[in-house]
Amino acid sequence: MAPTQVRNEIRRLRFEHGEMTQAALAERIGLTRQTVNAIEQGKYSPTLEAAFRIAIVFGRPLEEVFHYRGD
Amino acid sequence: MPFREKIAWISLVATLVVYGGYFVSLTVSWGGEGWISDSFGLLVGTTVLFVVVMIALTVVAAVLAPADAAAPADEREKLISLKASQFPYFALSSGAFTTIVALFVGTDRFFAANFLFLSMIVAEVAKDAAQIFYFRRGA
Repeated sequence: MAPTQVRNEIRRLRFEHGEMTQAALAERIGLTRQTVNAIEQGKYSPTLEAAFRIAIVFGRPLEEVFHYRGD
Repeated sequence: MPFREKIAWISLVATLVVYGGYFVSLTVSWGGEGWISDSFGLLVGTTVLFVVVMIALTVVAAVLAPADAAAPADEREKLISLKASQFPYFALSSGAFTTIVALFVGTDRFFAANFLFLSMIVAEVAKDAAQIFYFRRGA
């Protein structure tokens, strides 16, 4: 599978929220740390539900957390 | 490494080593005196060994990472499992069809049975390898 065209600001947002670890974020949204890492690196596009949960954790609208860079 | 990727690695290595040993032993003893009855015992023994090895290594992996082992599969892990499941289907169905054709044209039943069993092993290896691939490359 090719890397996803969905980019995100999760890494920056984690550090802006008290240097939240991937494990801490993963626990709050019900995913594994490895899946959060894959999302952060653009290797996996989360489901819409997971994307909303991530945005809610950071208190930001979805479009501020995820961006689509397709053609 | 995700717990389920560890399990896929354990299954892949155990399958290749244990069942690889079975097929090597079968090839070496092929056609010898009493080889068919001996090979049935070998098959049963190999399967018991495989189950024991899988249980033992899975327990070790779970003890080393109890939280990961207890956590249910998340959406990415379920997707990887689903995507990887298409590969064993092709391997097994191809092997089954080939076995049926072989039996119709009069191939030895023992050979056909072992060919079908080999298809099952190839299917298992394909599933584990595909899971590892998706875990590594991203899904």
